[in-house]
Amino acid sequence: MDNSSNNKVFIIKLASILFAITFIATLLLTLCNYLTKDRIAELASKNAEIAKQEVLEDATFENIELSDDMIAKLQKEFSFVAAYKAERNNEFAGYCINVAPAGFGGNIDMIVGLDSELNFTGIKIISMAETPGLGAKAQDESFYGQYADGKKGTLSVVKNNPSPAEDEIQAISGATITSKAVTDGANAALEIAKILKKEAE
Amino acid sequence: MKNNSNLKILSNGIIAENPTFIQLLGMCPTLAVTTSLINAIGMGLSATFVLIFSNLVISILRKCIPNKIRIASYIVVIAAFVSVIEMLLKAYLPSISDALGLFIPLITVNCIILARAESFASKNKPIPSAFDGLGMGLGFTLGLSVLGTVREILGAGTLLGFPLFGSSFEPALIFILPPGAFLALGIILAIYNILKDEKGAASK
Repeated sequence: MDNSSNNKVFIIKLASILFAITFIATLLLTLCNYLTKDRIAELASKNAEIAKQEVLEDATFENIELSDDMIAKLQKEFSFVAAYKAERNNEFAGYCINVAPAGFGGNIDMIVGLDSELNFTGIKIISMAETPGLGAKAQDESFYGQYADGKKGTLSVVKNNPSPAEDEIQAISGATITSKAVTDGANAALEIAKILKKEAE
Repeated sequence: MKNNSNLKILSNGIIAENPTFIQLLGMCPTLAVTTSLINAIGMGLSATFVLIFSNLVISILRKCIPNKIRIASYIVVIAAFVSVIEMLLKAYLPSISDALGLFIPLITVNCIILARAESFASKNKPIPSAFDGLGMGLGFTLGLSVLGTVREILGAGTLLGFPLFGSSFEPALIFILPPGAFLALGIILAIYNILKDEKGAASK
């Protein structure tokens, strides 16, 4: 009898010590989150804003509000994240589509710019976890610069072609999966833009 | 005398009981993040920060934490510090946070940190424990940096992102791919052991 009640006291003591440690740790984290969350959110929106400006210069952007059904459909088919309408001097100038296709090391978060005729104007990779030295070269301008002026239509990846056509992208050597993933993202953005343009008309 | 013993604890972590080369602890981050020198240094210093503070706090609390729940308590303390450093890096050093990505939360389960909590901080006073954390952290950083340097030079032909050779140099890609991590680590361990044996034989 005595033994078991001692045991109960012991268990309660253990639980309360663990609770106290967890409670203090949580307080510390709450405080830290409170101090850093505004800055983190600010940096994230700043980065997204810079990326949009890079793919469609001198434009102002407006988030396109979509119905939940539409968002679910686009997410399922096109790894959709967000879409923005661009305006220049109060005229429709194109779309910025944020997509996240699956790469070699997780999703590649990227922004694709399309002008009013739905030609590619550029892409910008916001974050990714591709292999350094291989897939990570997608962040070099020699690769992402290909998705710019003059590219149109559904793009495909080619290897060892020194002068790719207007719907071809030269792959990064040794990183075909990453090259294809980025191109898939660009194509997905094109499809999304087509749907958005149709809806707007 | 006292300073002397703290210095000894410090050098113990860096050389005599180097976590990477002698204890072979924390192999997951060692193999995964050492594709370039800058990643290796970032990972090593973040782990060092967590080691110092977790060792310090666990040593202070060592008399209040009952034996039966010690592992759970250590994990809570370690996870709290890792989350703190993750938030601080995201807010104030976003470029390092982007480069290290997933590996920062993984510091929580880096076995070096739990191993030092269990085998050193829970038995020693706070100041020596903090020195132990610093020594082990620097030892880990050193190990990662050696591996990162070798792999970046051989696998990408660069160091800290700067090209070392002319454009005709064809890097051995395998060294920045996962198999290269095992190859490079094995060869470095062999060299470390040869040097250690020779030093031991000479002192006899």
